[in-house]
Amino acid sequence: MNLAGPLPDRHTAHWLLASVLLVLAPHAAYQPFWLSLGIVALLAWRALLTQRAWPMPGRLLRTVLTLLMTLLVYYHYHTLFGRDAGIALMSGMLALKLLELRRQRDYLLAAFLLYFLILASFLYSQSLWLAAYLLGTILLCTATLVRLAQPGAEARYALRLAGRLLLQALPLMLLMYLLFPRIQGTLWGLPLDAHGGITGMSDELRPGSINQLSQSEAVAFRATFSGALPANADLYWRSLVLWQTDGRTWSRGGRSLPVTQGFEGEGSPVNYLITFEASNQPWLVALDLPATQPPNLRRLPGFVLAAGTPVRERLRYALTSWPRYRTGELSDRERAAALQLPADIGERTRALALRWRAQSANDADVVKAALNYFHNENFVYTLQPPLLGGQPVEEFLFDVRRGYCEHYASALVTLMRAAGIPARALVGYQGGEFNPSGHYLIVRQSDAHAWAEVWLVGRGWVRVDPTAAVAPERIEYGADAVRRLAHQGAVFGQLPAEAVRRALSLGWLEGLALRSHHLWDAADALWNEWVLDYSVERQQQLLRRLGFHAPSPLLMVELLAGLSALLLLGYAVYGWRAPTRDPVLRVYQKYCRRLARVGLVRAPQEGAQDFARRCAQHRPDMAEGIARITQHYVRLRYGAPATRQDRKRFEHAVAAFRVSGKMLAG
Amino acid sequence: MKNPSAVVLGQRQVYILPTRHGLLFSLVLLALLLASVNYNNGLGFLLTFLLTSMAIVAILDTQRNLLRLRISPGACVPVFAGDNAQFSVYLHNDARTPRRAVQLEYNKQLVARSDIGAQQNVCLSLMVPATRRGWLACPPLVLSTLYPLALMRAWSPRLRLEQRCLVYPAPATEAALTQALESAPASTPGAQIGGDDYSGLRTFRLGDSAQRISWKTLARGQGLHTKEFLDGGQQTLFFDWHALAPLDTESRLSLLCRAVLEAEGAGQPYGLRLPHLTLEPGSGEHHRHACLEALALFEPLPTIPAA
Repeated sequence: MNLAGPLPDRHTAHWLLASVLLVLAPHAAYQPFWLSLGIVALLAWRALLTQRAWPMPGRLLRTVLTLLMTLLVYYHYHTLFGRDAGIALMSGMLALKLLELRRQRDYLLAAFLLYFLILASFLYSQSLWLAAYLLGTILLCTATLVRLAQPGAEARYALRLAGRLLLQALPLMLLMYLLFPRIQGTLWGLPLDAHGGITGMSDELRPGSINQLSQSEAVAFRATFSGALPANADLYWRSLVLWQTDGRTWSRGGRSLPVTQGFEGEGSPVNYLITFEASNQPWLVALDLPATQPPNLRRLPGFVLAAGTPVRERLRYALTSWPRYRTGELSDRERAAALQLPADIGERTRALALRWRAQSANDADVVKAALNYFHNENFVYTLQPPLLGGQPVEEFLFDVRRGYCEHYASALVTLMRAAGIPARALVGYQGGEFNPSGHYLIVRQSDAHAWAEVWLVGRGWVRVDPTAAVAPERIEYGADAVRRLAHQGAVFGQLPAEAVRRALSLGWLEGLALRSHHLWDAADALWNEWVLDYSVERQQQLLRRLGFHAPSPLLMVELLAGLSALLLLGYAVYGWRAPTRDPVLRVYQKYCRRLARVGLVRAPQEGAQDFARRCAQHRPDMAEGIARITQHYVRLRYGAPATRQDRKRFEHAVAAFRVSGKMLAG
Repeated sequence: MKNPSAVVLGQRQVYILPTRHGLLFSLVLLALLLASVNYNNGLGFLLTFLLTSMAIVAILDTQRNLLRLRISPGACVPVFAGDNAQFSVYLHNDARTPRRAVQLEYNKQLVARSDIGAQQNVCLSLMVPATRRGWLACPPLVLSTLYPLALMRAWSPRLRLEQRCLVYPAPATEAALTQALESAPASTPGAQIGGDDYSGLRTFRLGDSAQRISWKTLARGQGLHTKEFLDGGQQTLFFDWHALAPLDTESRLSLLCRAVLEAEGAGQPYGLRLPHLTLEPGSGEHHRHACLEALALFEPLPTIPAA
């Protein structure tokens, strides 16, 4: 043996191999197939080397393999740097490193490299599942370190020690995580392919566009209300106001319109916090009608909010909205934009609008007539609308009469404009699923919705949702309920509430699934909030909430140092005072300490009986007590299983034992 | 109130520094931190801080593994010069938690590594070559530990335990003894046996005339015997320092040591006469020890200082 430690044993090599396999497994998802195959082959070869005691490959072979691997990586990625190529290279090098495990240092290097590759996994996915899985591999890697430090340690001991170290590290880790000063931006730049494959609401509305989006169960955003949750029918999340149409497609237009419009709120406002998922689009959501403008966000004409750039990372903002409102006068430019129509919308459409115009006393009656028309005529709300041709509004209104929200919304706005009423189409989301586990609302892409607004004298912009006239269930029960009802073959329009409730009631298994789904979503939301999105701003917010008005990096470092020191002091004190597990031994030691006070010290190798004899010889005055205690002690330690009574008697004997007199000379 | 010669490692007696592995690990942590910052990766930060915290907690563990450890010397059996002295050291764990992989080092070499259960003790032994007679002090020992992850090493100062080992003189060979006797003067003050009546063999004693040695038995490997010329069976032998006058001190002590061993082995009572000390004849383990101790400490050499 020497101080550098003996050579790691075969079991340690196996542990390391297992760790490498488990850590590299998630990387296989995005690494080229040949690399994963090569790594598995190298691992298998290494396992056989140990198993069969084959000689280790020579330096030449290792060099050739290393060069080959580097060339292949270069050939595949056309570079050796950057995230993907770098990680591929590191994985391959680790597998090759296993072929030269000789000294303890080689093992350690391999184990340290594993920690790197665990971090590399997080660059691709930061899901809760992956984190849980990789936490397991961290435990295994750390247990491998334990075995390297203490050769011959048992597997269970190594795992338990590694587990204890990691558990004890958790509070300190949290402190560091929360208080370590974060910086804005990156150190050496992000790869170009960092944001791909995220989609959000497009800024155009055409037949089928919302329907397409609504196939997705992906979460669009989550909303936490500080007060009571508004009714489902009030949950209109506006994203985009569409002014311009060519008869088929509705687009934003209205770029020259004034942005700042005031409105009078009525009733009481609602305060809420939006956590908006990355959408790759700048459009955000606000509940009708937002009164505040969060910093860093833009306002667009029509009371909608947008980010300065496409949203590529989860965004949080707080808003106040007034569900009841009255907007102001309409400017000429707005009026013009809200009446724009192409010429070829269809003769029947135009005639219908003019007929309503003629029959109605005012604009509000025209709107009412339109809604009655949708309600009373044979219109069907369907999730599978048929395709429409060159004049979609005309076809929809008179021939097909089957459509989804975007069909009804675009038809209504077209009709209103044809009747001379300023109108605009809106897209956004309607409703949401309340999660009781986290007390927030989940709004998914499937909740995407389109509706209309008309401008009425004296009231300003008024929301009109033709879908509510055709299928009130959509607004009352939400998109998910509608899908479920449609699945059961229900015809929307006048479903009795009782029937809807029966149709929507969940079996216990479905209920359980929903509850666990809610729990999971709540965990996911917390995970997002505290792990994925914990940034400079969140850190500042947290410290301000804790009462620090101007949190500077220096303050954070000071706080971190102080709290860590306290925590470690706590650990140290706890370590010295950890209670003994053997109560009998504890009591016996009390007795020994008393004898030691008069110089009678029990030698390490001295048995209890021998010690008693020696003590009794020196101090015949205490012989009786010593004999009694020793007799109890020997019986409790080495005799038949002790009862509580026995232990009590022993404790009493020790408690009654007094030592007196001078210290023994010598 | 412990054994007075025991040492307890207090806060100031436990030094701690990172090992080479620990320094490497801190580089790894730095690299992990840089990657986390650059990619602003929350899980990366968590991993980095988890490993950092683990290393810090491990430092406490390393220190605690030695802190309050009590070391006391055990018994030490006398040896002959040229042999290895075996010092035993008791490590007492008075703490309520076990200590793991405590290492005993001597001269920067690992002597033993042992776990110590809660409120248990272990006895580790250390072999030190005894080069010359006299007292051999226990060399300074260092206790160290790499527990739990070998990232840090904690160690104690060089501990000098109050423990010494008695080293008897190296016994001379039988041949040397025989040769010494042949050249020794025939008559010595201590020789009280004489006569012409050959009455058998008795074990040789110093002072006997060389002419009286029974060479035959010696050749048979039965030890050194003197032809006995007196009646009376067992004879008391007296080994006399002065009988070996021409030789130097150490040679004389070696020869006397061999003579004591031979006499004790043959079960003959023997006495020892040194310039300032006379041990009356006797036999048995205690007597043998008394004689050898007297030889070991004759004109005592300074205690062999610790290496």
